[in-house]
Amino acid sequence: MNLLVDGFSAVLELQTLIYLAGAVLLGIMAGAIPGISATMGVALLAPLTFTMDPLIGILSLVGVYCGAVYGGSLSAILLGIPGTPGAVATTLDGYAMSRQGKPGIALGIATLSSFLGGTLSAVALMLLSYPIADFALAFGPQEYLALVVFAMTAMAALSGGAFLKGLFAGFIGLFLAGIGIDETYGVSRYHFGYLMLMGGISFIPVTIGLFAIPETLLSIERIGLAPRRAIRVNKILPGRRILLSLLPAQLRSAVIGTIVGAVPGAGSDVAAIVGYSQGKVLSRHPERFGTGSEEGIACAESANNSATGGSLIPLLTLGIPGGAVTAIMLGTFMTHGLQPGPLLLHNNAELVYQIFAGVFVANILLLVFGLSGSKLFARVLQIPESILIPAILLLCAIGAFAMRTNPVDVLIMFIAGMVGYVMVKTGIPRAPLIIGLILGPMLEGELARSLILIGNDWTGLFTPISSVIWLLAIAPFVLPLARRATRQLRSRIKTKN
Amino acid sequence: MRLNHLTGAGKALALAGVALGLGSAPAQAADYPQKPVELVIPFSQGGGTDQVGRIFAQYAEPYLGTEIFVSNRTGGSGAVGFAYGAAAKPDGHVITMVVTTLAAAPHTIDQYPVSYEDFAPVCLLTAPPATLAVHPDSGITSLEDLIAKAKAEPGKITIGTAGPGSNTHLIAASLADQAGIEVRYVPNKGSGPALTATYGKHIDVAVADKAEVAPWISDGRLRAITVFTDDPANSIDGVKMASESGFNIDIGSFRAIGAPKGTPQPVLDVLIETCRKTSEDPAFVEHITKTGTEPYVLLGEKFGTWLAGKHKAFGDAVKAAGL
Repeated sequence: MNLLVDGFSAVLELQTLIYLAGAVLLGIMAGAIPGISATMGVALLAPLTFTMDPLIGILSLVGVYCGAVYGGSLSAILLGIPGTPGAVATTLDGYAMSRQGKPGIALGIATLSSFLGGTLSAVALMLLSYPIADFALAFGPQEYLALVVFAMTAMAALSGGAFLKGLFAGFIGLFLAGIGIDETYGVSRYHFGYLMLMGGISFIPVTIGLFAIPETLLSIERIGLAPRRAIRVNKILPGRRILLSLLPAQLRSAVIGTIVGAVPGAGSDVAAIVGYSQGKVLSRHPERFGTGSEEGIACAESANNSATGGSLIPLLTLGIPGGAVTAIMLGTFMTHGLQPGPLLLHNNAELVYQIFAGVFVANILLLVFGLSGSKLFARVLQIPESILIPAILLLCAIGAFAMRTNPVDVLIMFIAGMVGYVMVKTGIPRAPLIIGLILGPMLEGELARSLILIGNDWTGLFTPISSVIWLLAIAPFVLPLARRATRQLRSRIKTKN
Repeated sequence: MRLNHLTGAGKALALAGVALGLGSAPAQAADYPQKPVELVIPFSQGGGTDQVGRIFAQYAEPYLGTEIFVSNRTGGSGAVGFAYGAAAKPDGHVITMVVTTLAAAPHTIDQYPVSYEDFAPVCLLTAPPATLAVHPDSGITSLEDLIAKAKAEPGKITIGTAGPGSNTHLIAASLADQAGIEVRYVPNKGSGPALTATYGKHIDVAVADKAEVAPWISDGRLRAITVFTDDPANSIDGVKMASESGFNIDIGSFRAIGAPKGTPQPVLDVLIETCRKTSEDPAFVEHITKTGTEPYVLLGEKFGTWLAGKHKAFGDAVKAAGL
C-alpha cells in the first residue's frame, strides 16, 4: 500500500504530471485524426522517450495510448468517421446522436464511459494482474479461434436491423482480408501481379474511406436542401437517471474490455466490438442500438478504453506484449535497462507502482480534458461545410497515407469511399465489413494453428475456456429467440388464465 | 586520339567515368546528402527490424550530416517495403533495412518480387544466431533431449516458427531433416507470439533469434537449449552450441542497410563511412546491446559477399527441407 502511495506522489510531481498531461492531449489529437492510431502515436513518440527519465518516458507512452484510444471517439461522434479502429462501434450510435442535435451528450457519455472503463482496468491492473495474466496465458489457438468467432457474431449486433445485408458486408470484408500473401503458409492470393494487392488491403484506408467519404457526399447533397441545423452544445452531461442506467452496461463492458485487452493479440478494436455486442444482447432496448443509443456509446467506449489497462497486464507481469503498442513499450522498457516480466515487480517494485498510479492519473486527465474540451470539440460542427468537407477529405487522405506511407492506400480509401456511398444508399451496414477485414487474418491464422495442434480430432477445438466462449458466441442468436419464446409462453399462460 | 571523335557530351561522360573510376570521392560526395534521407523499414512499428532501424537512424544522423527519417512501408511479408527501396532513385536518399526475409522469402514465397540482388550492400548491423527455446517445465534441457523425445513419439513435438518466408521455419525444417525426426510446425505471426505460445505451453519449442530469446531466458521464463552457431563469442553463456551437437545450420537472422542497385560508389562510400562511424559509437553499441544482441558489422563489399552467401544458404536449406 505504501508503494502505491509513493507511486501516486511520484506521478503527481509537477514535471511528471506536465509530461503525462501533454502526452494525453497529444494522444487525444492523434486519435481524433482518422488514420493516426494509438500505435502510430506511440511509435512516433517512443524514440523521444529514450533519453528521458524511465518513469516519465514510459508514462508519456501510456498517456498517448490512453488519449488516442479515447480520441478516436471524437471524430466518430462528431463526423461519423472512426478516428481509430476501436471507435467503429462508437460511430454507430455516437454519430446518430450527433445528427439528432445532441453531440454534446454523446461526447459526455463517451468521455465518462472511457474514464470509467480506463479507471476500472487500472484498478484491475493494480489488484488482479497476476490472476488475469495467468488466464490470458491460457489462451492458445483454440481459445483465440473461439474469441474471433465470438467477435464475428457481433456483426449481427452491428448490422442494425439488416441482418442479411450485414452478413453480406461481413463476407466482403473477409474476402478483402484474403487478398495478398497469407500469413500462415505464404501463399499469394488475388493479387493479379500487382504489388499493391500482394501487400494486402490495410483496414485503415478502408475504414476511413468507407465512413468519411459517404458522409461528405451526403453533406454535399444536403447543401441547399434544408437550412443547416444550428448546433448548440449546452449540455455535456445527461441526466442522473440516464447516467445510473448506463452503469451496469459500462461495468460489464469494462470487465470484457480488460480481459480482451489482456489477451495477447486482441486489442481495443476487438474489445469494443465484443463490448457493444454484449451490450445489445443484454440491453432492455436492443432496438435502439444503432439509432443513437446512449447505452451503445457507453458499451463501446468503456470496452475500448479498458483494453488499454488490460493490455498492460501481460506486459508488466509476464513481459508479453499483446499488441503493437505494448511491443513498442516493451522496447522502451528494455532501452532503459528494465525487463518487464515476473521479475520486474520484484526488482523494480517502485516503478511498477508508479506506472499503476500513472495509468490511473492518465484516465483522470482524460476525464478533465474530455469534459472541459467537449464544447470546444463540438465547435467543429459549426465550421461552414465549404471549409469542413475539404478539410476532412485532406485529413483522411493524410491518415490513409500515413500508416504504411503508401500512396496506393489513398486510392484504396477513395475506392472504399465510393463503395461506402453505395452501401449507405442501399442500406447495407458498413461496420460488419470492417470487422470482417480486421478479423479475417486472425480467423484464418488461428484456425490453421488450431488444426495443426489438434490434428484430426475435432473435439480438440473445445477446451474448457474455448467452450465457454463458443457458448457466448452463439448467445446473440439464441437469446433473442429464447426471449421471444418465453414472452409467447407468458402471454399464452395469461390468456389461459 | 579516338577521344577527339566523341561529341562534347560524350567527352564529359567519358571524363566523368574516368573520374568515377579513379574514385575522386570528395567532389562527388560533397553533393550528398542534399536533403533528408529516408530509411525504409519493410515491417511495422514495434517489431525487431523497426527497433534496430530506428536506433540506427538516431545515432547515424550526426555522422551523415542530415536528418534520417524512418518510414514503415509494410505488407506482403516485406515485399512492399523492399520493392519500394529497390526501385527508389539510386542517389542515396532512400536506403532500406535489408533483413533476413529478403534472403529467405525469394525461396519460400511464390512470386516474391524482389531479392538481395536489387540492392547495393552498405553494411551489416546485427546477425543474432537462431536459438531453440522451451518451457522450463518441459523437462527438455538439450538439443539431444529434444531429438530423443521427437524420435520416441514421431509427429508429436510442435515447433513454433515466425511463419512463412521466415528463416525460423527453415531452421526447424533443416534440423528435422538432419536429425531425421518428424515434428509439427506451427506458423505464428512473428517470433514474439511463438515465444508467448511456448511460455503458455501451447507449443513445445520456439525457434527465434538470440536477441528475441534473450529477455525470456534472462529471468528464467524460458530455457534456451541450443544456439545455431559455431562461434562461442556469438553464443549464449552456458548453452551448448548446435555445432557441438553436430549440426551446422547457418541461416540465422540479420539486419543490415542496403541502397538501391546502381547507387554511385562515392555516395555508397559516404553511407559506408557513416555506418562505420555509427557502429563504433559506444552509445550506439550500448543501445543496440540492450535490445539483446551485440552489433555484428561488415561494411560494403564484404557485406555483399556475406549476403550472397546467405542467399545461397537459404536456397540450399529450402531444397534440403524439400519445401
